[in-house]
Amino acid sequence: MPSPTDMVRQPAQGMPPSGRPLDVHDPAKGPSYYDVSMLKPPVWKWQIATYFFLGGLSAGAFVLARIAERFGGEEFRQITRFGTYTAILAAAPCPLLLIDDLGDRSRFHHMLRVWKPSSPMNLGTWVLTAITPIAGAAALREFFRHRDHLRALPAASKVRRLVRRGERVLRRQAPPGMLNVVSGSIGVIADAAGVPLAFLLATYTGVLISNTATPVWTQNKWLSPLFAVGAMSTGATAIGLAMEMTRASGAPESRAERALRHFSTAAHVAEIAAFSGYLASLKGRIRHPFTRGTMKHHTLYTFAGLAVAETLKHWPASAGGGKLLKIAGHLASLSSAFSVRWSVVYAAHESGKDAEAARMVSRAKSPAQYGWLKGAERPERTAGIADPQAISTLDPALKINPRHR
Amino acid sequence: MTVKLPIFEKIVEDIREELENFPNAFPPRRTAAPDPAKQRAGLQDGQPVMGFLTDATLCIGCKACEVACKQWNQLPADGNNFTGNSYDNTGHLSETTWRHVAFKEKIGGAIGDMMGAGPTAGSWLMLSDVCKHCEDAPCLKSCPTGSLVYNPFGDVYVQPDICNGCGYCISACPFGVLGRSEEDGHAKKCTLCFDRQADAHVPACAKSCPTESIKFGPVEELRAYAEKRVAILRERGHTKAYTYGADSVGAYGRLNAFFILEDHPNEYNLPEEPRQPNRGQTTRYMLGSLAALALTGLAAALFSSKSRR
Repeated sequence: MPSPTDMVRQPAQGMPPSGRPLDVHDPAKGPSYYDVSMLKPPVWKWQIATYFFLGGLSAGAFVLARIAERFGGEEFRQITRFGTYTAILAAAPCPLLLIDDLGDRSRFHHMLRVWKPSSPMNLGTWVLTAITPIAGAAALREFFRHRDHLRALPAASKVRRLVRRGERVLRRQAPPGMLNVVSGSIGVIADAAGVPLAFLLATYTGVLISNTATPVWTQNKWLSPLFAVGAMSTGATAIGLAMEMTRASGAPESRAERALRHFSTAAHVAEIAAFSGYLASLKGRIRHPFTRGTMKHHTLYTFAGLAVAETLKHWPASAGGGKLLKIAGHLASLSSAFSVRWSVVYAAHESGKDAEAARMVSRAKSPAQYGWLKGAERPERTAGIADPQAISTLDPALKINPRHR
Repeated sequence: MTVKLPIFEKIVEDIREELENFPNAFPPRRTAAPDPAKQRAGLQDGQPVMGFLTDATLCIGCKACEVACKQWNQLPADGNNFTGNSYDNTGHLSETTWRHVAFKEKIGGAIGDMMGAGPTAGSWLMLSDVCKHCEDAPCLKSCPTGSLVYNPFGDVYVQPDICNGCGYCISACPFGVLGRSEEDGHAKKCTLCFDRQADAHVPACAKSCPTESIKFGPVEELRAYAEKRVAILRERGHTKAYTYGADSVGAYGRLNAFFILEDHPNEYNLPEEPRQPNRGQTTRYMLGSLAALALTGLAAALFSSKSRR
């Protein structure tokens, strides 16, 4: 029969009397509050990662399409054509993704009740709202300028008849030359307003997440270039993919394809440089989500995917036919870019829960200058115990769990 | 020669008024983007900015403030969590916890040193944490809907009828104060009892505090008081007492809900020097645009018809 005193819980071996390790800190780590993070992880999930990818792709394709029309000749028509369609197709699901991400989905339009460019999210919503109709108008213009689509449809098809009838009515009713004026204006608007807006669309996402307190994002200068070059790269790759899939087999490489191939090589190099620069800018433990944490495979995949994309592009077999190889290369490039956005979003989820990373990014740069320590001794970083082994010699009851070190 | 007819002027005036009011006819009302400087200037005559002073040297960790806050603001329970972190099973501020009592068992530190008890002396650190109602609030700057504003008492306030739950403020806050409610999806945080203040009541937490660790009042008065209080504390041997957030910290502006602490801010889960995340965003826009522009220039060169293959 155990006596009542035996019933009193005895501390486990190597544990302090409370039954769990006391909060004694690694002096190098400095003080902490039970390693509870002082920050909240982002609430953004797959919708935002996908939006970053599609929005960038849309902007990149749009810019390349406009550049090809302004600077390229007839040989580059295909880039304009596919780029214009890609831009609107990629932009179309973006509002849906953004709405789905909201806590209150019925209030998306509340972002359009104010003009507040100091908030990148507000600016971005306006940019997306402005560029979508421009990209849509450009796509319609492209559709009517290119009769191939109509010819490709069966002669009896309802769509073809409808479009033809619409065209006839327009021709008959509109004053002479008006259609040219409309088409020209759309082109000018797309160049003068659409291209700057597309630059903003490609860039603001990086600024948006860098305007946060999350350790992997906060005030990081590499994020906006990373997303901007990624946008151009994915835009070029999407156009290249569309051209490759519609190419007659055995046809020699056109000038447009060749230019696009060179461009995407440069864009891949820029992407690798920006992502490496971003990872290098994260110091020590802050980088861990990318190198040791949940996103380590994504980081590897990003670099591997870009390398595979480049290799397949220059593979001897892809010079001749090699359609499948080229398509695989394009897909590798696109998936790497997607992986970058995915890992940047989800690394922040891990980083936002990391108490040590949060303390690291909020360290005082020069403590002496701060008012809150004016006249006071600076509180010690260490919790008073420099050598944990010293405790056990002072008081045998206070043994530190080695697991906690 | 123009003939001025009062009736026309009246009509024109009416039409102009109608046009001006037109955007207000449909919810949500169109309002100007909140400009902190203007809003501050818009405080009514004689209305000072109101705030909190939370004194860690007086806190006994009773959690009366946490309970009073929950009751008054009708906040839901956080769930039956057991963190194992001393007497703190709440963990941190959140959408359902607007006052959080940090409860820390600490070996060594300021009090142990003061009592001359040596490095193994244990002490309890307690502090009632709350939204800091920053003078230059990152959440307010980031809010894309203009839901976050400075209210007529100069405090940071989430307008529940505007917030669409985008979650930007949650990531922007360097103190991790805001959270997104699972009930309605809106961002929630301390309102500094806007409703009680409007009826000339003291906020629920300050009202319930039995040791007057939480003090509520005009921020300027609180700052002056805090200075005196810190001087008294130091005189009495609490040589490490200091105010946290009464003055600006680096690039970060002052806090309208500030603290008197004795230990390192990280012991209370406060940042040493919170970052102002929006700072330097123009540079980041430029860097991104330059990168895109460089690649666009390359594309123009590659696509140019004149270039030979």
